[in-house]
Amino acid sequence: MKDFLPLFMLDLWDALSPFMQDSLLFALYLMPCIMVGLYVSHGFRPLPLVRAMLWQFRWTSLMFIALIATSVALGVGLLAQERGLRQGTAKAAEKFDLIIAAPGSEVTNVLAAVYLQPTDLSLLDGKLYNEIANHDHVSFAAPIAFGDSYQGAPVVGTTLDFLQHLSGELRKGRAFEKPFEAVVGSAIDLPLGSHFTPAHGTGHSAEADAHEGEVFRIVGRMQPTGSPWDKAILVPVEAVWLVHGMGTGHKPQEGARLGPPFDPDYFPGTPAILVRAEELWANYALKSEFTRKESMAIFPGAVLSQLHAILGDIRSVMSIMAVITQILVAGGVLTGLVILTRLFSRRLALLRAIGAPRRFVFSIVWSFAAILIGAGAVSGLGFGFVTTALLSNIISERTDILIKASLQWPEFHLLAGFVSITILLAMIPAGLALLRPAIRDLRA
Amino acid sequence: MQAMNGSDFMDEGSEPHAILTVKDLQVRGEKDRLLLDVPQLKIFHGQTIAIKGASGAGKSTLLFALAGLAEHMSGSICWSLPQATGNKEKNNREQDMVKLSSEVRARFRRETLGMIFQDFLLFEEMDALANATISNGYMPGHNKKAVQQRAEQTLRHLGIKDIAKRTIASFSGGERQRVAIARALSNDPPILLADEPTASLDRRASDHLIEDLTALVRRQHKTLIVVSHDISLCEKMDRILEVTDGKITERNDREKQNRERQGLNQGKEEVGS
Repeated sequence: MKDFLPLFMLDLWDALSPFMQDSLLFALYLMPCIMVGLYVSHGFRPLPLVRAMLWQFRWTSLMFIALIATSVALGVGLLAQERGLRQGTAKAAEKFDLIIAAPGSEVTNVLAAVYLQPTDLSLLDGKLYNEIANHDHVSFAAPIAFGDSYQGAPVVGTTLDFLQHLSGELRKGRAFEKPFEAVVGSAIDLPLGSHFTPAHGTGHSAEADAHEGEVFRIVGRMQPTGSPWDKAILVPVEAVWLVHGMGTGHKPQEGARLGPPFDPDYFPGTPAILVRAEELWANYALKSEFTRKESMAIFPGAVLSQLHAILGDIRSVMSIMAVITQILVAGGVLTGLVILTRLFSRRLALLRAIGAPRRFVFSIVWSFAAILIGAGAVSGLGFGFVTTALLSNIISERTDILIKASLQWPEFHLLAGFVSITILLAMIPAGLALLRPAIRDLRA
Repeated sequence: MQAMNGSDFMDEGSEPHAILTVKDLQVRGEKDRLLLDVPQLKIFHGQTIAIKGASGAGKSTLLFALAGLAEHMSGSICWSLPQATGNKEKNNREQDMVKLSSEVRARFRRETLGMIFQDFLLFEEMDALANATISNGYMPGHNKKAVQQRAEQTLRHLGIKDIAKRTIASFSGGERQRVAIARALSNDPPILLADEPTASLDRRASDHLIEDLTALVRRQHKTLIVVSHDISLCEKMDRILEVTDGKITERNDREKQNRERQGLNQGKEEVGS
């Protein structure tokens, strides 16, 4: 919009609130069809006749509305879904400032550490962990350990610091204080006080009795995070190492102590270290410092940005396809309207025969088309929203990333643009209806 | 719209006022085929005129030409209508349908002509009153009330006021044509043009309609030009014009008409026996 404004108006535009800017843009998109509507129907009352014609051709009209609604829903749904996906994944990753992992794929590491997607990763040793954990700018460094599950939910070993960082105050119960205590994510349907034995591995290949005899007790429930961690079971990292016969990361004489510091000699290794810096700027220094031969530091946000850029590219391609679909549908609808006007050409001829002004006859056909387009567009908006909500639920269900469906200004702008253009194009069938010889239609 | 009633057309002298003068009218169709050739025709105010002729002879073409709906016309079709002014002087306003633009012709039709069609051309989904007041969709605001009142009055005269709020879909043919008549008269036009108004009706309904239509037209001093094959309708008209291959001849001999009627009745009896 700013590109089209003269310089002296730029300041004025910038001074407006985003809501005002969007509202103005919406009104601006609709302006052409409103102007045409006012001009075409000024001084006339075409609606009773249009209503009668809509009722007479109700099934055909409904078909047109459904066609328009489908194409609008496609465009609206695409925009809303892509945004929901982007916001959902970003929100899921917002608690993860910096991840340090063994060199490899950044995306794979982010998928594993943030979105808990099972994958095999190389391990970082205790020396590196201690270097990170003892760094001046690091608030805490949490090793994670995964690979076990219970009833499909990943069992993730981590530290109290990270649990508190992820959930804040727990929704129920308390944090783990002993190795075989667990805190469940908000979406895990297990009561506090219940016990479980994790299976080794995840999915269908999980071995249910591999850790027989290792019983965890659930002592707390996290607040919802909108991330896959809501469907995870968090346990002390020492417990995960222990059930796998790898020690606890501490000297044996230290007993059942939980959390850092860990002893490098007894540290079994971790696929990723989740790092929280003292200050925001320090993340960049840490990233630089720990991107080296034996490790790499990743900003999940940056990786997500790359993924979102790809998603955006896909969205762009899909948007172009949606626009093409909308153009085709609009073309089809307008062609259909030309054919439809032939069906009520006798009535139009009658109006012309009894002396109705040409503009009145024009307004009837145009209003008929405008109502179909308007109804189709509004239905499409609703249809698009409902479809997006359903899809979001399915995606949330499958990925455990909370995707929220919402209609925002871009969808309304798209809708206004589509409505405006097609309603302007509806002048074509209206004009063509006037070109028909009245006598021929009267005699038809 | 300037409403005009019958007295507006009465000249001071004894000569009736020629409301329509047609001169050298030719209407051509596709491939320049001559559809209608009328060297001269005059119609006077308050007359009722039947146009009859074989199918395809050009009757409806003549009617549509008089209404300014035909294309490819030459010659002149001059409607001469008094135009009331502020001080009640009456100036005849001549309108040549051949020369006028389509928009001016349309204005002329909505101000001056009422049109009735063979198959009614009503909006089935609307009620009778809404159909009769259809012109309110485009009439200036100050005329709307008058249109509404006239439509209600005509529907009452035609005996369908009680069902005026029913949708047309439930109406019989006779009732539909009555609604069409009410629609044609709702603007109080001085001239009514009707194209085969009884053709879609059975005999009984036709007779009723003819009675009602002629009574209404005479009471309101309208000029009626009706295209019809219906002998009952034609014999109630003041003049009969016969169209044969696009040429018009005037028939004043009621005898021939009566002979035709007798012949028709005889034929019916023969068929009956």
